[in-house]
Amino acid sequence: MKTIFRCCSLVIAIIVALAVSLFGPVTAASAEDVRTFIHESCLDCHSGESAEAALDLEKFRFDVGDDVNRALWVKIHDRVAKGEMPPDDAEQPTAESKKKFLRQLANQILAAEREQRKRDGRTVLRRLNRVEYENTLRDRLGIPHLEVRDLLPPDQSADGFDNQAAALELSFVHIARYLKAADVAIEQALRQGPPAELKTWTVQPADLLQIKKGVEIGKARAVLRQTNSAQTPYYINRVKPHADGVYRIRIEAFGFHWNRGVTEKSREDQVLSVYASPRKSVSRLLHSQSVDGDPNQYEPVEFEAFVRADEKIILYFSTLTTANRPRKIPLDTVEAPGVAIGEVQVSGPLPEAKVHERKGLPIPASESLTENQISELLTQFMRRICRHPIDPAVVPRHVKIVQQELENGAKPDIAIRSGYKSVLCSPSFLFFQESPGKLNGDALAARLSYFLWKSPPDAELVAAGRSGELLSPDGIGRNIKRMSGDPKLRRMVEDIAAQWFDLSRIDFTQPDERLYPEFDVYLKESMIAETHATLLRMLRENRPVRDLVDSDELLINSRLARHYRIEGVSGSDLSLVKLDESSPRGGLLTQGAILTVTANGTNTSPVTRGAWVLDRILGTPPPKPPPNIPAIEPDIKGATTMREQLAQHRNNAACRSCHALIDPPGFALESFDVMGGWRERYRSLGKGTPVESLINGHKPQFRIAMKVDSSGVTSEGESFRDIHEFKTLLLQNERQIVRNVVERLIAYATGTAVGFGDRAEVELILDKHEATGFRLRDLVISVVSSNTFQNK
Amino acid sequence: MKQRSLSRRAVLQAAGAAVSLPFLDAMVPAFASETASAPPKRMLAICTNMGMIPRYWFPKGEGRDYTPSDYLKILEPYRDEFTVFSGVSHPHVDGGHHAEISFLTAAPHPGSNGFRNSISLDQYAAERIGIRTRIPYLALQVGPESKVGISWTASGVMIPPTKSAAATYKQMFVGGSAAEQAEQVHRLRLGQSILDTVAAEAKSLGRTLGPADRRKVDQYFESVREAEQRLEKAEAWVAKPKPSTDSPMPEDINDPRELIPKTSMMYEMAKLALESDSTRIITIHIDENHNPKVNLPGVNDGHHILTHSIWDDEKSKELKTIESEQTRVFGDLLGSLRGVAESGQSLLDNSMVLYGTNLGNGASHDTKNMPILLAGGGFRHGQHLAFDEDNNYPLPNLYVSMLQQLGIETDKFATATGTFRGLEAL
Repeated sequence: MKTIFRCCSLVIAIIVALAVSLFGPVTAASAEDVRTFIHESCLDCHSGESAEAALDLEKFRFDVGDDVNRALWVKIHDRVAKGEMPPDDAEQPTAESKKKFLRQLANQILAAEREQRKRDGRTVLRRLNRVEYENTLRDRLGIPHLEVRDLLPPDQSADGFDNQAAALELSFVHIARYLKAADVAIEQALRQGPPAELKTWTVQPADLLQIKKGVEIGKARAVLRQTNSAQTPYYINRVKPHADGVYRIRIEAFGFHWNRGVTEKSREDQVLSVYASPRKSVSRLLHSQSVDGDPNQYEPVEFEAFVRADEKIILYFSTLTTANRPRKIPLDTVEAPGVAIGEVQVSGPLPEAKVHERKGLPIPASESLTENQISELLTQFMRRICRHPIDPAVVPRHVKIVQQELENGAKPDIAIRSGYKSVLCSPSFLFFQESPGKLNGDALAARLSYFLWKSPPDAELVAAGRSGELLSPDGIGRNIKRMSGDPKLRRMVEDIAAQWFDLSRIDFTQPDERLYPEFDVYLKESMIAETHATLLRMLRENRPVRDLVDSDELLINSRLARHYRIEGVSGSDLSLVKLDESSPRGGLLTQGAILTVTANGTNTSPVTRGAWVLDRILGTPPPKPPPNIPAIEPDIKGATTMREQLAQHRNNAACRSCHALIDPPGFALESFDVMGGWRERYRSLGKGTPVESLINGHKPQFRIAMKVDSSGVTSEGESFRDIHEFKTLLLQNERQIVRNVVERLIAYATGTAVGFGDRAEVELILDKHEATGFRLRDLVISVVSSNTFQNK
Repeated sequence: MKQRSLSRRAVLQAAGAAVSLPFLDAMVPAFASETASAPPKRMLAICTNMGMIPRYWFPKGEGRDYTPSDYLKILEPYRDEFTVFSGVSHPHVDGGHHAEISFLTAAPHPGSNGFRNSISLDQYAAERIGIRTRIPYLALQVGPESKVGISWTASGVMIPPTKSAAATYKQMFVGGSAAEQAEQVHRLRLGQSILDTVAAEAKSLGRTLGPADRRKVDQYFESVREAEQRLEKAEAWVAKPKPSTDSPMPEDINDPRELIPKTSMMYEMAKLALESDSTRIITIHIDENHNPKVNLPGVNDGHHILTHSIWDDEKSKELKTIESEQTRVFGDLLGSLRGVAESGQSLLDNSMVLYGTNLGNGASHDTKNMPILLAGGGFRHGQHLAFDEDNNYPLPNLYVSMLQQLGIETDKFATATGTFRGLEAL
């Protein structure tokens, strides 16, 4: 059968290759208006050897049944519709012929798309990506800390996301890795033997190598100056986690102000961060907490966290600096913030009921297994792990595997695992089950669940799917509201932040320590938390989409408040702060994390940031730069600004048209440095005025250079003086910003980008929510209620 | 130039038909001793992804009498063992840093929306001759947390590279006990049975689907079949004792700043792999994209940042320090390959070593005029083959020449137009 299929595809390929040039004999008669328009308005430039943009419309096929070809005709349609083509300096078509052309072309494209959807649906057969794969095993087998995603090859992205059906390819590498990952998951789920012994370590400050020589305050020892930087790790070497599991960690600690030998109440927030440090990769944050309190009373930092057997527990005094570093300075002559550490207690792994329930993987205790028993066990397993009813015809094949193992002499409890492994490599597990047309209840529940939770539906959602509740906007609303309250929503929010808003890039570069000595890891962690919390709040509290650009509230902690120069915020937890009119903050766009990922650690480029705003916020990405045009490199010596260099660039006619679009948002954001700090002047390592004041107790190496100019003129010709005015102008495009949000949500939720034929429904969604200010959860509900989502 | 007859396969591929024929007729039985006395040809491809400062890399003058650049001076002891190229690049490969994923595939426009990669040089070769060794190919990587690689399957899936030198060493030289071997055989057989099972499921599933979905299931089916065949071949190797080596097992270096020792260690693994004939196909991707800093005297900034500051004398000195050291350890690799005698020749004579970078100019993200060098492998070397800097010569032609040198009958690879002009096999 396969051979036949191959032969067919070869024949098809040849037919396609011969096919239908627009002016060939096979062209559909109905494309008459298209043909005339192309002939009269396009061929002047788009034909022959030297066709503009290498697009020869005389030879270009009209074959909208083909995905790639259709995408190009959609582009042609859009450029004409927007009035970009024919260009201003060319002869213009009459309004009538343009209208006819667009209508005719649109009809052809729509008809082809409808035809294809009838056959295949909108979304092609989609497999789990590696994040969904891991979450499915975690949730359905009750192994919350399973890590298998890195065993699988990275998934390719399309349209900005790594869960797009068409781009999720498979290869022998995947299959080999699925076998391996299944072993790891089964092994972890069935961890044999009694749970690891619960151990408790109690460590006194006098036993902590780096701390024991600190100032004695009662039983505690205090750190007043760091030897290296705020990034100096303080190891608690005596604590040696002996098994993966959840540990309870309790650290007595308090912040204070050291005034020449006298301990006083802390003057600013002091924070203790606790990390787990694996042997082979970067440490991960377990917990951060303010430790301000009464120096006479210990405020223990207490929490539970998952720690692996080979990890060490380390402390960071995130808010202390290297000021007073020279050890020769007598301590009774200095004033400094300090943090004192008392007793440290760690115990674990705590008994974890769920892990040992083995709920997903029933293991027979009997000496033998009949075919029926095996079949029963495997059916039970498949019902749990797959997201759809099980076709009984599928089970016997997996049963055979177990029988074969039994014949080879394996004991039932071992043999059954091979059946589980087999299921975990099978299409029933790996693929979404969706059939062309309306999705059934199970498929809807699965789609919705992987959309908002990145994992399979829970029992309640499955029931909602089967009862038809997911067919009506009301029922969908109820379910989405419930799902928004679940901690699993965080998975989606963090995934979106990583991919759409580029937070996955935050560690690519680090602010240069000579130019930005204020930067520390605690600031970075706080920034990430802020962006995540903002997105979560938008969903949970049904905030308007305009929060992406501007808002009069912020979710910040004391570290971010210092960074943003906002008074009156304390504590390491994020709290909601009302902003002054005059504040440039508010809105995701001016958050530290966003401004960091759009810079490169040393400098900012209006081009990079401008293109980012056009793409990620407005959904109108600029064309790629022409080949072999060198990027403009900022001058950290401080002699010229990027703006001056860009001005030269824009004198070139070839560059001007795009840079008129790209640069303005970037100019407005020039008021923010590489970590999102406000600036009125650039910092430089060359020219400029030296800085007299100390930063973290040291004289900075950078100099204060040229003045920042954050004014500009938008491509529509509206001028702005600064970020405030720019935000107002940007929000005049609110509908376009919301359109971008809706289109991206549809792509993310369905695994396929919005097609030509989906556009009308997007506009309906926008119309519906305009009056209520485009609130995010309302939009999500409408997306899930749409035909686009409800059909394959 | 050698003319080779086209195989049926090559004709099919030229017609663009979607056929994947893994484990072809070219695959001799796993244990057939190399009948000819000539040692086998091997291939090692190395990509460092931050570019090289062009003025320190490209030589002056052409042909045999070229004047070496600063970096090539470091390689002067091996001058007769390599050919350096200029004015070469992959046609239509742009996209700045994205170009690294096309370094061995030459797939046009990486990083554009909807881009799908094609098969890389090493995988193309591994499909055809990988079966002759215990390990069909090694995809290695030096660098911190990384999401990219240079080895890609025909369906555009990245092969996750191995970052651990120790694990590579174990894979090559550390054999298990008899019980462990039996367990391994059992696991491989079980794997094959499972794949047989799931393939059958895919086949019956395929019958019920529309054409687009069926293509996806077919891809799954093909992938399963290919994985199954690979397990079968692996099984044949289990009972065969692993080669031994005098070199001790390396201890992995985890500090991301130790670029140079880490590179050196990976080069040593590559040499051991080729010497022991554990594999004949190796890629090493040196990924410096996210490296905070390189531990070398006088270097203060991150590698990536430095590449964007080469107009600054101070900064370009720092970058030159890094690139010189990279070149030096590459020279050491050539030296160590040359030091291994093999039937009157050296291991280097039988190993093609491709070295280069996907960026012609790191500062401007230019992907034209790639710094590329080919050492060893039985070509007439000792020359600078210079081509037009404005209108580059296609680099994929070099890949065709390399494939032919491996004994693979093809005159096509990606956008190649033939074999590489001016490069003669001995």
